Amino acid sequence: MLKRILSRLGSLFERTDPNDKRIKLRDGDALLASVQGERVIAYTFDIALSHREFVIRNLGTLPEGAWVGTIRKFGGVVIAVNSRTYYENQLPAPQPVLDVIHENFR
Amino acid sequence: MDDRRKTQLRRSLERELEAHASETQCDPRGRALWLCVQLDNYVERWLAFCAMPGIPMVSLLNDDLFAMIGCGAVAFEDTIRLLPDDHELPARWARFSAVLADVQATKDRVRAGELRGALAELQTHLAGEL
Repeated sequence: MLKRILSRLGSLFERTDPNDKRIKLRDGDALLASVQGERVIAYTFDIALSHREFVIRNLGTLPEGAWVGTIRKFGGVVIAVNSRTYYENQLPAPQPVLDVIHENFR
Repeated sequence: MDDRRKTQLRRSLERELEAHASETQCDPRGRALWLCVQLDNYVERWLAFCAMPGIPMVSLLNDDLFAMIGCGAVAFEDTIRLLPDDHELPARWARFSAVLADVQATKDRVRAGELRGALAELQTHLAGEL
């Protein structure tokens, strides 16, 4: 509980670093994204789209080794889950994918 | 979640529905089935985050993903008004709507899982009638 309160307070008083080029999300924001290697290769805030449609429109097909899923921010932390369509599960994204997401979204 | 974001999401869904209907030349039942499949996507995405420990229901009920379920529900309700001859559909839809309203009112995480079953029944009914 205390951790949660501190996290929220932290996000309220979060300082903006002018050199921080990451995309800032608000708590509760959600988006669809794809990560390949160390890059976010596509993303959209249009969550009306299915993951399949998102991939078709942005990438044609999902590149070999690329990840696709849903990203959401809570308590100042950006979290992500796998696409059910592509992985038949909605487990948290693998850590290397999450690391790339954290390098691009805050 | 602000009203502008909700409007964006609703308009996007309407655009997608119109594009699908135009491409497939589907009737209102086909539109309802397509919306049902989209709703299933939205519900599953939201439930994935519901399953994560540490995210309170009050946050989950005020996020983009839950708002998307609401947009899908409104669009679906509008569409089934065009299907007055299907006497079973309103009752099946009412079950889903009741669970959705109850989850919002009680913030019951376990009850949220029932959205999945209610939607599956609806989808089976619509697909069976096509």
